[in-house]
Amino acid sequence: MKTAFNFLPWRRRAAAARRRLLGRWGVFAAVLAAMLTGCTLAVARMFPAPDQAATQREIDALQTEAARLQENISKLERGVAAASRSIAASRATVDHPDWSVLLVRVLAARPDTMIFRRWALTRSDATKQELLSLRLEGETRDLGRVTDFVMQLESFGIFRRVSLIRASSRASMLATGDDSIEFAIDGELLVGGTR
Amino acid sequence: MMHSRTIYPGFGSAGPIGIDLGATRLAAVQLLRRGDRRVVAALELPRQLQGQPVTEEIGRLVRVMARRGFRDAPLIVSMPDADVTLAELMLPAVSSGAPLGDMVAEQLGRMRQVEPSSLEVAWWSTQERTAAATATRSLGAGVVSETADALARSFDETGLPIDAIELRPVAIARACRGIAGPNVEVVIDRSSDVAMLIVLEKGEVSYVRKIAPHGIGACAGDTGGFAVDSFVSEVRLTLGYLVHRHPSETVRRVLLLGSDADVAALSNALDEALEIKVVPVLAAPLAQFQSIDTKGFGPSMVVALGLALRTEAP
Repeated sequence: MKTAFNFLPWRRRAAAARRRLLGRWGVFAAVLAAMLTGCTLAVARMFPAPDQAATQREIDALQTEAARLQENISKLERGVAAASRSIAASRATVDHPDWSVLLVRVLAARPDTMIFRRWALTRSDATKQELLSLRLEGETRDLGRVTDFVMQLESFGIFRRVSLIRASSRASMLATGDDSIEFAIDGELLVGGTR
Repeated sequence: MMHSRTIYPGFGSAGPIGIDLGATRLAAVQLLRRGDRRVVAALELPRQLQGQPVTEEIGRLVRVMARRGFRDAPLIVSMPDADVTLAELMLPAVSSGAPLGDMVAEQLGRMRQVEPSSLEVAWWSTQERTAAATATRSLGAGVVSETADALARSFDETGLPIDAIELRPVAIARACRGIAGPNVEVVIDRSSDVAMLIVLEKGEVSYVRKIAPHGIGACAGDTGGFAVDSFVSEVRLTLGYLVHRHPSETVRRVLLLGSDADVAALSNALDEALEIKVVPVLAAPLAQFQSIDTKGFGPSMVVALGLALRTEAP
């Protein structure tokens, strides 16, 4: 025999059952949350996170060191720039060619019957290596002397190339009154080659 | 108006709260365990609005319970006897496959003159089932759903919803399990507006008879004794029926419940009138709590105690 009954209307019984179920799930959820919290705390204790303040201090120290190195680099760059400017100035004042030597040697190689009308030294930027071009324009008695003079110039070893640009006959300026050969010679020379 | 919940869980294990809604008194009992100590929270309030629906007084009851150490727990409430239709029914055997629940509702609805579908019904067999039995003697109980719902609503408003509504005779049987004999036991309950004679067989309710409400109490004190005429004659009628049902059984005592059950003059008067021993039932020994606070835990609380002892799920 069973004598435990419930005269509560079934709708209310169902609501009460739902309430109890929710209550149980609430308790379960609370227990689960407590367990998760405990596990999290245990893991946090086992693997402690680095001290944030210490990390910040380390970052600050590294940033200070980086700033100091950057400042040193800037100083060095300024020093290098100054040194570069000094070297350029030194080159400008010290390492320029002694053109008088060239002039003396060219004049020494000139035949007696040759005169120069024009002497020009021009700078060429055609190549990376700084080139100078010596233009000689003059007059002489015959073409053979011109070719001899060109060969003389080549024999100096300071010209990269010596070219006879023009050679033409015309009334002479020389005292002989004969026709003469007017010529133009280009000699390309390296700057370093005249030192 | 919805009130906030006023009873909290607290510490220690707490049994269900049993609330007996009587005609003149409201009683509440809860058994608590605090460590090794077993205590009881008990409360009895006289009704202030007698004759009015009990729902008007539930808010007051719950507020007092909160002050008297009750803890939040399932709430088991007795249905007032006047709202319960109880009848002995002869039903087909369970093995017949007949819709017994519908048949009980049909019969109880006819007795109460309501639609069967408007009743919450329960029934239980009161005799041993045998394979050869073609019919089963049963007790059926019905409560109008709307009445039960109104009772539940009145508790909802206190923030303490009801988990179960039980019959008073069932609660009495549960409370008396510790003292009831192995076979037939007769209990007279005078704690409600309607006196009830309850027969227990092997601790379960097998027969219930309502007795005229003013059977004896109204005459008490007038004559220096008790008028036992109609009341005793009804009890005798029931005892005679029991002899017919159980020829081999002998009823040796009657258990007496009610607020005046421990009044010696009453039990003595019934002793003489019934020519059978009348034993008053006190609530405190029934609970069998070692450290019980017996103050205010009187014989009128037996029903509430029986409700509080319910262990079945709602």
